Amino acid sequence: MSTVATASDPTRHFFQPIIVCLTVASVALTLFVIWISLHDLSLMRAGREKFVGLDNYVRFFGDPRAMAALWRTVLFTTLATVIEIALGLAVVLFLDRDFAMKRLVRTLLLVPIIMTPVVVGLTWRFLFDPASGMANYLLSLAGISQVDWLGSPQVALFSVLIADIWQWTPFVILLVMAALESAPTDPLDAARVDGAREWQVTWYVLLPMLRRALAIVALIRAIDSIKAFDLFYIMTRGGPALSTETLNYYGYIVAFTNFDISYALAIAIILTIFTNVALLTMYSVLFPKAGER
Amino acid sequence: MAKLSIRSVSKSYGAVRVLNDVSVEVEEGSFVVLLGPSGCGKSTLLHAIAGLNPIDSGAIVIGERNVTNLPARERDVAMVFQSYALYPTMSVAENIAFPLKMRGFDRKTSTDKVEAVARLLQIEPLLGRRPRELSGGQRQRVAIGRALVRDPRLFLFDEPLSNLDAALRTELRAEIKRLHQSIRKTMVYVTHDQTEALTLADKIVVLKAGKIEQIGTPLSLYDDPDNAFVAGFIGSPRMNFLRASVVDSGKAVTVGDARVDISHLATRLENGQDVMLGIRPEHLDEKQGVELALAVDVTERLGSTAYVHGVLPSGETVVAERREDQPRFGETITLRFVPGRTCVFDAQGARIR
Amino acid sequence: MARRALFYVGLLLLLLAVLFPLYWVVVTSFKTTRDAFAIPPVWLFSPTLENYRTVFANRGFLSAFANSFIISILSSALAVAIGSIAAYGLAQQPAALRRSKEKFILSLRIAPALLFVIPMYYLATRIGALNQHWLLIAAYAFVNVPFAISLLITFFDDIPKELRDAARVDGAREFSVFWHVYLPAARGGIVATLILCVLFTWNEFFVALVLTGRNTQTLPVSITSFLTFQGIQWGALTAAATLIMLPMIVLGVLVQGQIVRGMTLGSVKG
Repeated sequence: MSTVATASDPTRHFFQPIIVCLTVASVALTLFVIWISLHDLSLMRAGREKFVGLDNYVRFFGDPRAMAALWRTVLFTTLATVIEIALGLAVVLFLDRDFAMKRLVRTLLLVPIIMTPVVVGLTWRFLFDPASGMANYLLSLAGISQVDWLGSPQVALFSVLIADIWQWTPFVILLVMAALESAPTDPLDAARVDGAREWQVTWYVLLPMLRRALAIVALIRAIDSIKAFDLFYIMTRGGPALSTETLNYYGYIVAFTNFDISYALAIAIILTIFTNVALLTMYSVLFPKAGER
Repeated sequence: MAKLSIRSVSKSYGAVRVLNDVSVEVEEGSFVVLLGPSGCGKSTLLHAIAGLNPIDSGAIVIGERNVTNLPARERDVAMVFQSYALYPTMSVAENIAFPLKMRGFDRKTSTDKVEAVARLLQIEPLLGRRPRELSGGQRQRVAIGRALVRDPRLFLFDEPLSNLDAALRTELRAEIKRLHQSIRKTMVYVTHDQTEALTLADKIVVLKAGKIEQIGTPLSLYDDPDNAFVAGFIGSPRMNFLRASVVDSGKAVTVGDARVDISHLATRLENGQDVMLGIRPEHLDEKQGVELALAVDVTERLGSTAYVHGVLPSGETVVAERREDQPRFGETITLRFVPGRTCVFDAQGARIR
Repeated sequence: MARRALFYVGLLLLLLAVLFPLYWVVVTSFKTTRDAFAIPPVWLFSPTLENYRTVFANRGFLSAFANSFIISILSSALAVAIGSIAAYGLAQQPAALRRSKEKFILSLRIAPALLFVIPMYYLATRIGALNQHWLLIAAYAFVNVPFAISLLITFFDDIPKELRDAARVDGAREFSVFWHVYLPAARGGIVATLILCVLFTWNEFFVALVLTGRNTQTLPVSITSFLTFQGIQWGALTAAATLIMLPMIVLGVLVQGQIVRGMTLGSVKG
């Protein structure tokens, strides 16, 4: 009996070089980033950096501006994710029937998603213009007093939130809609035959079938909200009075306004760790049983 | 055209042995069918012959060439797949020409060969179409054409008719048979359908759980199975297996009250040994012989004949063919069989001859 | 009947909420400054192309258009070319190996852009690459490759494995299988991936904000120049905004079926 030498699989040559490149690039980048964050590298005085150990990390936790930004990120991410999921699911259930132009509605829902985020920011800044914006005009029609949407520290974060919700709820709608349409309808009919009322069918049969899609879209939205930048840059630039400065935005300011790139990278690393912890927590909450399909 | 030797081939996926020391000799120009239930390893074996799956040990020799370590493209075999595997973006003509293109044939030769094959398979009008515009039967003809076009040493068929409806299956089966008779190439054909195996094969290899159960001609497998698995797998409806026990110092067995003479067997069994007596449904409708009483449960009428499902006094269920009368539920009928038409198996299922 | 009417009223409100902001921007771009800021808003007006004239007179904007075009097309083509080769190889691997590589690729997309933009900026300033197109093309290709791989794998998965087996038996080398069988069969998916990459690159702001110089500014960065200290030129701004998003909306509608799939990166299947 001869032993057969395992012939080398040529398909490996297709992906290995690229995976190796990506691995090398990401490892090199990670090491470089960590190295920088342990020094006090500044673009203002290049070439005179020295090793400072964990100073940048210690500094972070004693930096009230950073802590406020972290808290704001948590608030923004939680609100954006929860509202977008809830609103999106409500719209999906509302649209779950046959009607003329369903395809057209779907196409139109795509528009906010593919709109350039910078343009979305400008659009909402325009609508929120205190003197001549549409938002205040509508409020005046309803007899409500004017709101300084982007100029008031108490309101600005929520104004940005509205723009984010406007852009990304359609994404939730489309994804959950797709999941709904690929789900089998027999169990729903079975439940109806078994005597369930419509709300019971929705609650006990339909929603559990959509759980997976909802969980995934929630994860995606959470990741993106943590990293949100464009809307903040365009609509408020972190203001007024830092009231809309998220951690990601603060990192940008530290790096490219203060040119303190060591501290900025320490912030970026903390943000990454924070993102991963949040995701893992969310993941274990959303997918409680390991290996569940 | 070449003979094919499969020598002690084994393969495992993790802890699962899908091929266990399989050896088959295929004579030049013959038609061999690998038959077995799903998961028996027949497709794995075919893929191993094609060079699509590496094997763990053993050797595969086509003609005089040991191809065990050669990639598929150097083995000079052609294969027809269950799912047709036509290239969706190429026309029928391009599909058939693809193996020639890969071998660097010039355009002119290639076109001539494609046309010749299309003529042979009567698919000339389809040459300009795309696979998705064809029916299932047409697609499989094109797939056969793609296999034929470059005159390989060996043809492999992987359940080529399983995706077709019953009528088409019969038609294409006959066509494959005709094709083999006219070109006399070595063909290896995988199926789980015994009718295909019995009608097409010169030789059938029955596989179960990665091991060969029996190799033989269709007739020998039917008349003279080596074990209960082959006996049960070939023949429809399947063979009845009845509990029996040896009496008369090995000259007979008892099935319930009936005594069945087995003195024709070469092996002498011991009194009291438990065996299984296998009787095919079509052998239970003799004019005379050993009698069994059957309480009728259901009768399936198939026109010229009928199959009666019922229960013996022992509680064992039996299917019997019935040509003259068609009993109803609740009746009790008498089945008769000739001892010489039965097979005796030991408790492990091995045939006792 | 009343329920039905109620449904359509609801639908109308939904569409109004989704489309009004877009409508308002496009409409404003055709208004004179006086009409644009009139309160109450002017619904009927005589359109003017004045704002578009302003935008087209702005050399920065025109060169930004060219930059965006070149950078997004080239980096996307590069990413799809590299990505399709890798995706083909990965699609043929056993599930366990494939899974671990896919996880790695996905993890590359979770890190905030800040993490790689800062070191890239730092290195670029040192070698003086900040004002070069290739820097952005490379940066976006780096961002798009993992995305292209994850998405293309799902398209290659849709191609039956037997096609590869058939081609190998028919005498094809691995690269021929990829080139003659898989690429044509996944053509639709490859075009969709390319368009999604272009869409993403065209719309991307953060990386561009940091890494573009005066000569390489892309559209999203360039448009912020209308947000001047003297105030916002809303007329020109809305015209520029319309010009930026219009090509993407057309492209997006072309590949609408793939967008949700692309944005979830095949993570739906688990």
